[in-house]
Order: sequence, then structure tokens, then C-alpha cells
Amino acid sequence: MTQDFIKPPVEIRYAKELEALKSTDNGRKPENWVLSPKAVRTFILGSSKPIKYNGEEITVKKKFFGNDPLVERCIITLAGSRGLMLVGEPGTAKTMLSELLSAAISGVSTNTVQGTAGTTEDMIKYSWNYALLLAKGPVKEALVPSPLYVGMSKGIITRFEEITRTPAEIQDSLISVMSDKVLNIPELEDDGLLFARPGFNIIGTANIRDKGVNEMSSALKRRFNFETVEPVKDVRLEKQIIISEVEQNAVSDKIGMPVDTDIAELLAVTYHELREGVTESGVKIDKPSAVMSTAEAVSVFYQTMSNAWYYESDTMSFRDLTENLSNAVCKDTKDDLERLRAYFNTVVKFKAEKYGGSWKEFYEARKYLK
Amino acid sequence: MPFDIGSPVVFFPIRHHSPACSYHLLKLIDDYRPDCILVEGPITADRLIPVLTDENTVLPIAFYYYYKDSRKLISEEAEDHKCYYPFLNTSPEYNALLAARRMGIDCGFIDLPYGEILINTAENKGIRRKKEIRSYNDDYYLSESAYFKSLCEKTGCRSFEELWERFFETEALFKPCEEFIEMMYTYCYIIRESTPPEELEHDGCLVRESFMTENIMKAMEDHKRVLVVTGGFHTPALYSAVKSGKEPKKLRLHNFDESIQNVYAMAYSFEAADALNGYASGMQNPGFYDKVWKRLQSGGSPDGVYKDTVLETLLECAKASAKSELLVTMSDISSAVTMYEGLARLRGKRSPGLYELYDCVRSCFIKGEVNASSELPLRLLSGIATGSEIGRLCESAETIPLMKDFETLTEKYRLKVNSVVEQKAELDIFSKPVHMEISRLFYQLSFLKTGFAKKEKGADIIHNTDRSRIREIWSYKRTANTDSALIDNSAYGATIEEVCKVLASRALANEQRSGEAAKLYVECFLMGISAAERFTERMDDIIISDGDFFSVGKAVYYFNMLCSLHKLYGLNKTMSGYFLKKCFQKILIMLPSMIGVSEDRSAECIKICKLLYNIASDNMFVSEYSELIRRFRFMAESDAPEPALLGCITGLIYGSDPSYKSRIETIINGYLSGTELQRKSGASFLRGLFSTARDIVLIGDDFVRITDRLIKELPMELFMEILPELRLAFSYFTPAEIDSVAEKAAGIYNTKAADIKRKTEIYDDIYAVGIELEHLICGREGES
Repeated sequence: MTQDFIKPPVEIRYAKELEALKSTDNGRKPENWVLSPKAVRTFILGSSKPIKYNGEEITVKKKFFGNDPLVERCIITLAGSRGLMLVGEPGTAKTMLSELLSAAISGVSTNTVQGTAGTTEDMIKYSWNYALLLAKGPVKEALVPSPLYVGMSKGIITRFEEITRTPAEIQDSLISVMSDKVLNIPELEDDGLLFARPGFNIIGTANIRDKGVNEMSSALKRRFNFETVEPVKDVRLEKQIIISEVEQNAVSDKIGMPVDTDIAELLAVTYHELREGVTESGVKIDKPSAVMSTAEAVSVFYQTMSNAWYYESDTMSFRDLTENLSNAVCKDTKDDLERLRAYFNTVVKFKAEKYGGSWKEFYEARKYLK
Repeated sequence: MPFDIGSPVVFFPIRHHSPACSYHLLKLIDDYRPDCILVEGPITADRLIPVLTDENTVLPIAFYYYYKDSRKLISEEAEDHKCYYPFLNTSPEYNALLAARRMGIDCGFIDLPYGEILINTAENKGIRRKKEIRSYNDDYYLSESAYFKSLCEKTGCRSFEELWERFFETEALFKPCEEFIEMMYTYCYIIRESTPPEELEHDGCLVRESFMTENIMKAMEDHKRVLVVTGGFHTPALYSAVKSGKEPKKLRLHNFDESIQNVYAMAYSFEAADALNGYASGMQNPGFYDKVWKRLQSGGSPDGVYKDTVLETLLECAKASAKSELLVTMSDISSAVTMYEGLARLRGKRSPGLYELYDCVRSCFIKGEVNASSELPLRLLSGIATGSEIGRLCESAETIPLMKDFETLTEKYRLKVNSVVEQKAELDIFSKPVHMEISRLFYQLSFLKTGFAKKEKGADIIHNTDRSRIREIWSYKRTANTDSALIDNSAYGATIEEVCKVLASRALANEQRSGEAAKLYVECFLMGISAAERFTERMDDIIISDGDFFSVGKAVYYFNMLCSLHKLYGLNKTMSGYFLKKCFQKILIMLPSMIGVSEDRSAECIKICKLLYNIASDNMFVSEYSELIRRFRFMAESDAPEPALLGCITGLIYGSDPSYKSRIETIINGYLSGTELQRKSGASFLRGLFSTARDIVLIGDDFVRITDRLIKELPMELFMEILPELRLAFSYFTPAEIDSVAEKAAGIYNTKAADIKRKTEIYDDIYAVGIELEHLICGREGES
């Protein structure tokens, strides 16, 4: 089934795991939840103990790395009356976490509002099918439900992506829905109140680099519990994430090339050091202003691997890797290129002399930084 | 470890400050009814047990051990060593000793004396680890092993502390005592097994355990039921050693007197205990666990203890947030309660604990991204979990005279020393005698490095800043360091003043430089300590033997300042006047050697020369004055003195003899007619000269003409090079004097000062020609 999509939604991608968990889930569930909080936790954080399901042994893989208590807090927030707001740097897997939570709790991760500068109130609440509206007047049949409407009526999670990109007055239309759990549709007169069914909640995501663009009102903030998703701090974990993400992408794109773990480690170290502004030996270095997320590292790696695969090479080229890295880092300002060059001329050079191997080749490819 | 309540000896493994350990330990004592309780701790502290367990002693208190390695048994450095052994209400060791007192049975410590532990520990290992503050009871074995790290990974716990709370505190309260001991023993046994034997050797662990075994066996000879309470890491080894029945290898102890090794009880605070625990010396967050313990003691049952404590702490945090003007609504609190209860269930915990509390505050009280500015609720919670209580020793506690003096004086001056909050004192030292006394006490305590008081504002005599301030503002706070520093110094006297005197004399005895010695003298002055006779003798010797001009110059500065302050402070200036004269005479001898002073030290030398001239103008130095001028003349006539210094001393000579002006003019002409390098030096000369005799420029216009010639004849490049020096030279003039100089300069060119100070207007047509020229040049450049 997954072959039919470029990027299958979480509930399809991990359908077997979800089914297996459901079959063995004896925990207490909040009303309308597909899985109990404990099973949701297992779905996201994985379990080493395989589950027997339909004669198969299903191992639930860990899907979110680096902060288990954060996931636990998210689950408990969603079981309560407040919404969940995930904030953090771009590329810290906020969206992925919100998809995983929605799929595990409501069985669907696609009930989503994408916040943009052009998002309007009717995109959040409801709009009308004007042909039907003219023919039949303001009746339910003519109403076009928004994801929020769907979430409330079905008792499922509504995801609101990039909420701070939406104008503040539009964001505030959520306040009454969040506090009273009711949506008023005055056009429907007596039938004009939509009461949220149990299981409904909102997961918002906000990028802290957008802070100040459309700051949330304090009234809306009070309706949410906030969780700050931070970049992965552990290099080993970052390497593991790069490998597992690239492997999954390779399977869906039918790239039959094994993941080079040495390069994954090299890239994880490079991204980690540039992001933190300090090398593993404690030397302070200049941080690029660009986003140095794990997601970016995955993208650089995968792009390099795709190049190798489609241009029929057995190994990934360090020239491609360096060029892709350079393109990923040097987006906003030319200074970032200088910072990256300085990193190569000091840190990578030192590692090349100390460790040789991939680091040496990586250093030799510095001429492609542009 | 097979636990047998019928056995003649029962071992109880503990973690320091653990309420669950204390809880089960008391249950075990009730069941086992021991006739002797032995506790891990240096044996030298036995005499302090009655103080620790006295009903009027309020915890936290600490035993403070010191060992002075004057015999160099540890290292060639002959360092002093000290460490703390804190006792909280939650400490199992304290509860065991308290129970022994209640039951009227024997009890005591069984570990090696502190000095012996140090001697048997390798450098930077165990108790000799390089740390800011050392603790006797380190738990680092329990919390630094790979075993615990993999346990954390498996259970999803963030830290050893969370793991511990989850499995050994909240949950273990509901387990039978026997099962709890088994749990503790198993954990500690695995940690012990994974520790390399050589590490145990280096850490001094094996020697200590051998000594403890010896003491346990000795106690077993006289008692039928011995309960041994030790850190969990030692328990498996002690159990095996005692069980084997083999006599342990006897260690010969050194015979140290009290001045080398001793132990005292002192008041302690939760804050200090928490800081110490940060070095893996027991459970952190003592304030929170103290609340848990008090509930456990009052209720008798562990039901709801954690839940109630968590709620109480959450409400305290909300209240503290509101005080800090951070809005926490009822909805936030209710959401936080739902959160910690839900998390406890999700994590399979019977009740929420401190870590669920941190989680819920993070989620529900912080609106937005967690960063340094938004994490206030977490900081407040951390403060509440640490606690703010300060202990108190009972009346019967042996009080060190020095501590007693501190208590008496702070009480006399009504200083709030029993608060964890930093206090402020504004002292009007010149109008209120009592404020002067407090100031002196603060200086004395600072001199003893107690960290008690810090001067925020006020005249700084040593660095010669803010001298016009008549008030002093001090901040002060009693910390563990205050007490330990006083205890450390207790051997030197019974009162703070006496100890300061002894230490100042000692410091002076080791001092070789008169500048530093004079600084010490100023410190004594600030401390209100009058110089003893020996002090005077030593100071004399130092001044006589000091051959460093700058050091003696510094001493001149300090003594001169003390002389000038005597009226203000109402003191006799005899001694400082005496030392000033001595230093003056000494520096006069050294003065000619400054002819060849290097350029980088000439400014310092100029400063001293000016100071000497000013001092010599005083009536007290009539005879020295003429000698000083004679020496200045000698220096001025010698070969190639440093130009700035020459400028300075010629200016000073001119001050005493205006006819010297012509000689100065000759010198300047010499610079003008010399090589390029000499002309360059002319600017330095002027700088030196203007620093001491600016009036030379203001009388007549000769000097302005000379300076004008100097500047005019300089090539542009050289002029630009010396411009900063010239600017510096003229910086000694006041604005009115600058105007006067400008007037004279204008007179030379038959114009007015206002004209040379203002730039000439540029007419539009000239400006247009300039622009055209610029474009033409730029265009040509482009073509080429």
C-alpha cells in the first residue's frame, strides 16, 4: 500500500505497528482514543519486545529520539483539556511528532490546517459550497467543513501547522473552540452549534525563527501547554536518526544502495558541531546562522546518495557531499560560507590528520565549497 | 545478601539523605532491636554524637573535618585538607544515631579518621578528588557506573536522581523492609562488581573497609545484635568480610594532635547540602525530600505522602511565580495536577514525584519556548526543592571560641546571619561609631576569607577609587564557607581580631616587598588592628632590604595616604608617619637609578616622582625636600634620561626654582635641533613637563613659540606619529588653560584664537571644482 504514495501518512506507513499495538492494548483509554496513552508512548518511543500479530512478530521501532519525557508530557496534555503547542527550531521533528501523536491517538494524521500568512478564518472554521448555498440556502449539506470542524465532529486531533505564520486575529478564532469546545455557525440558526466530541484536541506547531511574525495572544497561549522541541544533543543518536531516515527514504524511492555509516557519522558530527558552535574537543567555533537541523543533515545525505545511485556509482562522492552541504548551509548570508570554510580549514583539517579515512577525503573536497 | 533478622549482625545499605532508607531503617530497628548501632563515618567524630542527636539541635548541621598535612604525609605541598559530612532530617545515619540515643544503646562511627583516609587515597581519587567543596560521603560509585546508565536508557529516566526516586523512593516505601534491603543490596552489589579492584585500592576503599570490619568485629564481641549502617557501596564488602570471620589486616594509625586533625559540628543549610550533593554526595533537592520525610513521620503510612508533597510544592511554586509577577492561573494549576498524575500513571509510578513536578511546571507554567528568560518557574521550583532552612547547634555543643566571638559580634551588631537571603548593610562610618566597628568586622571577616561580607560601594583606599564616599554599602550572608573558614583559623586565636592580627603578622613575616607590606598595613588599618611591636620591627626590615624602586614607591603611596586619613578616622599617625619617612629616605637613595628607566615604566616612575615632590612640600620633610631637588637636578644633568621622566623632573625643579626655565628651554631646543628620533622624543618630554609644570606655558609665549617650532619643523609623517603623544601632553591643561594657549598661538600668527579654532568656510564654487577634480581622477583611474 505504501508504494502508492510519495510520502505515505504515518498511519499507513506504520499501519502494522498500530494494528499490533491495538490488538494487545489493555490500557485505559480516554474516550475516542484509538490507543491508550501507554500504547501511544510505545508507538512513538518503541519497544524492544516484539508483538505477535496475525502470526507475525512486529517490533515497534523508536520514531522520536532524544527526549522521551517530552513525548510523555505531550500524550498527557492531549488527554486533558488543553491543546498542545510544539515550538522549536526548524527541522527538529515537531511536525513528525505531531503526525505520530495524531496517528496513534486518532488513527489519522492528515486532519491538518497549514498556517500561512494567507490563512483566513473560514479555512480554520468552515466555508460554503456556493452552488449548494444558492440552491438550498444555509444548510449543513452546503457547509464545507474545515479540519477543525472535522476534528470536533469526529472527536479526533486537528493539527495546526506553523500557527505563528497565521495573522494573530485569525489565530484567536481558536480561543472559543479551545475553551468552550463548541463552534458557533450562526447561519444554521437552531442547528448552529457544533459541540466537540471527546477525543478532539489541537496540536499546533510553531517555529521559533518565526517568533515575532505573528506572536500568539496571551489568551490563546493560556489554552495550550507548550513543549520546546530541541535539536538532538547526542551525536550517536543523530547518526542513528540519519541512518534510519535515509534507509526509509531509500526504500520508498527504491534506491538499492546501502547507507554508508561512516559518512552518516561524519555528517552527524559536522552538523552537531556547527549547530552547537563547539567541537567535540571543546574548541569554540563560529556558528552559521542557517538552520543546522538533523532533517537538513538527512536531506544532504540522501541527496548525495541519490546522486551516486542515479549516476550509477557504487559509493557516495565527497565532492557531491561537500557541494550539497555548502548549498544547505549557505542560504541566507555569504558569511555562512566563510564559517563553513573556516570549519573545514581548522576542525575538519585536524580530524583529517588525526583520523584519516572519510575525514581526509572530506577535507580534500573543501575546494567544492562555494 | 541473605537477610536474617536473627543474625548477630545486620547490615543496612543506604544512600545518603534518602527518606526511604531512613523509613525502612527505623522499621528495621524496631524489628531487630539492636543493642549497638554502628554508622559509617570517621571514628574521630564520636564525641559529637550527643550534639548531633540533642533535641535542641536543629538540622541541617554538618561535621567539619580538617587535616593539615604539615608532616607531608600526603604530598610535598603540605596542603590543608577539609571536608564536610552533612546531616539532614532525612539522613539514615542521623536517624540511626537518634534511635540509638532513644533506646539508650551503644553507637558510634567506624571509619578511619579523616587524615588516615587521605593518606591512604591516591592523588585525585576518592576523597582527594579535585573539587571545590569536598564531602566525606561521596555517592559517586552509585551514580557514575555504566550499569546505572543502561538502566536509565531502559527505563526512560533522564538521570540517576530520577531513576533513584522512581525505584528506591516512591515505590520502595510500599515494599517490606526485607525486600527493600534486598533491592538496595542487589543494586549496590552489581555496581561493586563492575568496579575495578585497582580503583577500590586507589580510592582508599579497601583500607577503610578493612578498618570498618575490624570495628564491627570488635563490637560483635561485646554485643549480641549489631546493626551496621553504611553507604550501600561498602555493604557487600563488609558483609563478606565479617561473614568470613577472618581478622582484617590491622592498620597502624598516626598519632595526630588536634592542631593537625580535628572535627567540629557546625550549622549547615539546605542550600549548602544541595550544592554538596551536586557532587554526587547524596540525594539532591533536600527541601523537597524533607517535606516528604516530615509527612512520613507524622502519618506513619506512606500513602499519599508523595502526592501531597508534590501538590504542596506545586502550590508554593505558583505562589512564588505570582510574587515574581508571573501570572499562574487556577487553570494552569489544575492542568499541572492533571499532568503530574497522568505522567505518574503513564510511567507506571504509584505516585508522582519531583520529576513529574518539574515536567508539569515546564509544560503548564511556561508559555512559549523554554529559554533563559522564560524558565523562571523552573528556577523557582528548583529553589523550593532545595529549601532554605538553616540548622542550629544545641546549647551544649562545644563552641569554638572564634565561632562564639562571631556569634557574639553579629548579635551585638544585629546582623542577620541566620538567613539564606543575602543581607545589605549601609554604614555611615564617619558619623556612627558603631558603623565603623561593623565595617571593621566586615574587613576582618573578608581578610579571613570567610566569604561572609562583600563591599558593594564605598571608598576604596587600596585602589584609590571612590575616596569621596562617606558611606559604605556591604552585602553579607553566612554560608558554610564562613563557618569552615572560622574553624580553620580557630587555632590562631579566640577572637576574630586576634586571629586577624596573628595572620597579618604571619603574612608580614613572609613578605619581602615593602609595597605589599604597606598594603597589608592599610588592610590592618581598615580592620582597625593596631600594629604590634613585632609588626613595626618587621616592617622596618622589609623597607631596609627592599631594593625595588617601584615597590618602595607603592609603600610611599600607602603610608602617605594613611597619614592623610588619620584625621578623618581619628587615629594617631605616628606609625604611618614614621614608615613614610623611612620609605622616603630609602627611595631618595634609589631615585638616581631611575635615569635609565624603560619607556613602559616611565609613567609609573613619573607618578612616584610627583608624589615624592608633593610629600616633600610638607613641613615634616623640610630636610628631605632640598635633597630631593638635588637628586632631580643630578638626574636632569645626567646622560640621556628617559624624555618623559626628564620632562617631569625638570618641571618639578622649575616648581622649586623658576629660574630653571631657561635650562628647560635649552633642553627643548636640543630636542628641536637634534635628529628625527630626538625630535620625536621632544613630544614625550613635553608630556612629562606639562604633567608637572603646565604654568610654564602660561607665563609668556616663549613655550608656545618653541612648541610651534617643534611642530612646524616636523615632517608630516613624523608629526602624525607623535600626534597622540602631543595630545596626551596637552590633556593636562584645563579648558580655560587651553583657551589661553590658543590665544598665545594665535598671537604668533597675528590672528585670534576664535579663528584658529574654527574651520574656514568652503565656498560653493571651490567645492564644485573639488568634485569635478575627483570625478576626473576617478574616471582616469577607471580608464587605466
